[in-house]
Amino acid sequence: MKLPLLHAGALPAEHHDLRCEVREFLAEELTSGGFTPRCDSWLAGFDAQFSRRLGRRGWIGTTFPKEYGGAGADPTARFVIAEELLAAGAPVAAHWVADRQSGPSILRFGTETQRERYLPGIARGELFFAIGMSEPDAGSDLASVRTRAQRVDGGWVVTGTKVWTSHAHHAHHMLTLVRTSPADPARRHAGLSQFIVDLTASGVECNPIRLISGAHHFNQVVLTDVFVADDQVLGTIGDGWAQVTHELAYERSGPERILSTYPLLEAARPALSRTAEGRRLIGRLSAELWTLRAMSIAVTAELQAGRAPTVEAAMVKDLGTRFEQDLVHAVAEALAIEPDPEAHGTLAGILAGALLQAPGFTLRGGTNEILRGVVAKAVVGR
Amino acid sequence: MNTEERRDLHEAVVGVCGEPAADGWHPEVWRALDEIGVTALPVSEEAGGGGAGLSAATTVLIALGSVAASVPAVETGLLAGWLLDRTGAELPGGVLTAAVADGLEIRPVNDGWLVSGTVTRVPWARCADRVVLLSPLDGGHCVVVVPLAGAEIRPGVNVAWEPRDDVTLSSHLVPAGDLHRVESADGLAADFSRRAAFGRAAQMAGAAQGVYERAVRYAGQRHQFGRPLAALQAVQQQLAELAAEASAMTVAVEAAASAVDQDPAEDWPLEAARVRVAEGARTVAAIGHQIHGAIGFTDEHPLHLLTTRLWAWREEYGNQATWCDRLGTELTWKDGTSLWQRITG
Repeated sequence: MKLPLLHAGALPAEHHDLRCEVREFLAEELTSGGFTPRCDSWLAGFDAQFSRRLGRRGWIGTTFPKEYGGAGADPTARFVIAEELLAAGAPVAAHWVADRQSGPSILRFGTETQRERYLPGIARGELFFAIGMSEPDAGSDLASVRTRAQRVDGGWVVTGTKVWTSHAHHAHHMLTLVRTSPADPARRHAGLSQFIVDLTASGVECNPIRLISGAHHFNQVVLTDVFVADDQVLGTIGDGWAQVTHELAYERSGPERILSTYPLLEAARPALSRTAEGRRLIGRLSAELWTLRAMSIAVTAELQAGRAPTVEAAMVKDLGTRFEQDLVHAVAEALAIEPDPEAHGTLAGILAGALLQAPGFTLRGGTNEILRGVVAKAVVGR
Repeated sequence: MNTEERRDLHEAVVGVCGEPAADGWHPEVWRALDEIGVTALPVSEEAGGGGAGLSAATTVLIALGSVAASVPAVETGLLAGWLLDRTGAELPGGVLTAAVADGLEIRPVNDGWLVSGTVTRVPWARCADRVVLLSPLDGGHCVVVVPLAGAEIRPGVNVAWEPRDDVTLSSHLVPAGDLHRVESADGLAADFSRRAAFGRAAQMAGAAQGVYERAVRYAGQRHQFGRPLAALQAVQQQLAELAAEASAMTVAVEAAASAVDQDPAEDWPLEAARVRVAEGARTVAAIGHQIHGAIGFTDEHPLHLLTTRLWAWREEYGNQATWCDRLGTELTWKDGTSLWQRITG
């Protein structure tokens, strides 16, 4: 097979004003102490108030049509907003999942009632979603999920356990992948469906899982006979795999797969630019970032054109997440500063935060080995 | 350029090149490229070029790199043609090369100039009719077109066995009309090396595509343990990494060319592309060889035509440390502007 080629695109010039507005807002927030920059702020920076402030500006759900509280903007506008927020290390974790994938999935697969019920709240930065995909025995092998739903009058009763569920303890709903008919080894991807599970419903138990940073972002979500009404089924019963795959294309190629540790580079820049070694490092990392950004923009353009650049998205995520990790260790080597997890907002604190978050970058959203498998299958044509 | 235009131009160039030939100089390929009009694409039409942007030239260089074509494409279009364009002069016929010369002695005589001195490691000198030199002159600079007939040429090579010859001129006569003073030469030598390094990067992106295509083909054909190499997960992981690197290298040079076509004053993307491409070159060559096993390490197998070029081109016109340094300095010297603002504009 020919090389899966991405052709570098550029963001439309008309978004420059939007970019400037976001920068101005962030500068004001920083001055007024609205947030403290940190790495991996789309997982580790949960701030519901900050999300509401973004929602008031129209910077969440920007791509939703106006009748659902969005701005009807194209995906490149969302790209600009997202990358500015991430580069600044702003706390965007609260609304991230809803804005990136749950909202767009509801828009694409949901009923009119569901769109009206969920999308305006997401766009206001008030309604948060969690991802209910992974399970104790279904990590990279997502098709082996065991959470099962049984048909009852007016809906389904769901039982099972989801893990690594970021911010389920704050989120209002969890877009949950469940088995609605028994597993068939010959057709592993059949019989799966997506439910919008209300996390306040009876039978939902949320247990914290602490990360190596000591922070509580992850959860184990145990569902015991949770009733899910028919109007909380997303899309078509049995089409869960196709719907989830579509969700993953959004999940894999965005700026958050490149920029998770960028705030460290910006914070280290004054110190690095004083030495020749430091300037060389800035040159090397900037070249990598600049290239990855061009690739990510190209994938966004493909998605916008209605294509499914699965292979290209996998390549961007593989390269991008390894870059995020490489940046941390390269900067640490050049700085000679001891990382300190308690020194919030200082270089030592940002470095510590980045180090402790870094192992997750190449795991979440599909491990890099799985992603390379996706690429390899396409290139060897098997 | 849109995707279709890029693909058509790429295929036209590869079409006239054929399969990668042995090392050496391929004059028949150069003539064929001249016939389809792609040897001087980025040179203005007034100067005898194609009047196209850097993007089109980049596509040609990628295509040439992918088949390891041994022709002076960077030297003619990106360097010699560009220098002459800058001085308002026309591109002479014949095969051209170009270099920056620092230690020349240039003296006026009745009907022209006498040029003396040595220029080292001039690409393709033994195959070229003329070399276009950028040289200091009387406190300023000049662009001088030197005929190579009669010059003393000491052959040398790079690690891909491409000619990199030392040229010694002894009171070599250059007609008056072939020396052009440059009004404002500020940074011209730096521009030259940036364009040259970028041209090599575009060729490297092409060579990486070539390595990728060969590796995928070989992994599908070669059987061990009763199945093709491509069925082994360890090999698949390597192929995926190779694909990602070759794609990144290609995007880097294409993005840089189109950025500079839009805003020629902001030319650091050329350096960024060169840095990213050189990072990938090592990985691409290593995986290419690892997948091919011992046969790819032999002179009879054409893989080395691509990998030796990756290694050779990466070190020409400044190494990785040089370009990382220049790019890092360029992106951070402005006070009050964040690195992020510099990168995103």
